[in-house]
Amino acid sequence: MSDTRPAADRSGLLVFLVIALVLIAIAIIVADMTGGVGIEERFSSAVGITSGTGAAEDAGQNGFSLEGHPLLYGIFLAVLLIACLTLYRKYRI
Amino acid sequence: MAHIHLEDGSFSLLWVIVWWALAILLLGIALFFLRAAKRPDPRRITVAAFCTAAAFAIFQVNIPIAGGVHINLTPLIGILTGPVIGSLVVFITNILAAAIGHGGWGLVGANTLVNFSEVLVAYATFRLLRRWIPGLFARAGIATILGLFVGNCLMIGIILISGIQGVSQTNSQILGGLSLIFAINMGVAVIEAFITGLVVTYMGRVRPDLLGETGK
Repeated sequence: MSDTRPAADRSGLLVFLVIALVLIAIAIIVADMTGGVGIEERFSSAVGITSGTGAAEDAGQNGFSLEGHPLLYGIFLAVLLIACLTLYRKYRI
Repeated sequence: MAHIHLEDGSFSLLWVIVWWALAILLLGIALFFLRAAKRPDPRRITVAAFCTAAAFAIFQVNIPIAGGVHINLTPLIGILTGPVIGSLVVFITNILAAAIGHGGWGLVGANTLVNFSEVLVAYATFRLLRRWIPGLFARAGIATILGLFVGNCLMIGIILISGIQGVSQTNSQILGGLSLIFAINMGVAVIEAFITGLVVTYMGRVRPDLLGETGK
């Protein structure tokens, strides 16, 4: 078992990397075909919707932007983090 | 990741109800199993809370690749929490996303089903491949890609079955357009697979018990 484990690990990693390379290559080709539109626009045009751009997005920095309402995002995230800390303190995983 | 990025009104009311009903049925089954367990593992509940926060936080961020893509960590949720708790995590994440204006309320049911398929397939693949691929990184990566592949197929299937209101495109035209999204999503799935693989590998080193990897 100990001899076959590294070999199985290597072959598993090889399979993963091959799949990853193929998928990335296909994605790059398709992204080049469709141009640099956002996901909402790409989705709308794919199904034939011409109006509307989906959820609100802020301007963002370095190309990163936030979907939806930023204040609500912050509030919900804060509540979730408080819940996480409470559970962590209680159960000590 | 797979997510139906459409606004309310895209699906007819009938299909909104159908997908919501199926999602509620799914959640009912999950709650039944949780109650049947009498005392759910508190560690798994805590991990689920962290997964919910992480998934919500990252899902709302538009990542500037190919014009803008999203990551939602559903396969990682499946691997860490399992399909029962994972179904509740993706439901909560979708509800919160709709609440801040990311996606329509009417599509929460359909998106919960799509995300649940990713959770379930990633979880099952990660467990089933253990015998053949002991390494955590490759196994988690393959499980992620397979989970997101199924999620994307289900996303396209749901859209084709439901139809889009107010558009003149045929199903084959819609399928053609969605196939391009599918291809880009699978490229993003590779990024998500690397993230999942790294997180799972790290957790396997520091807390293998949380992955259920202690018993050989």
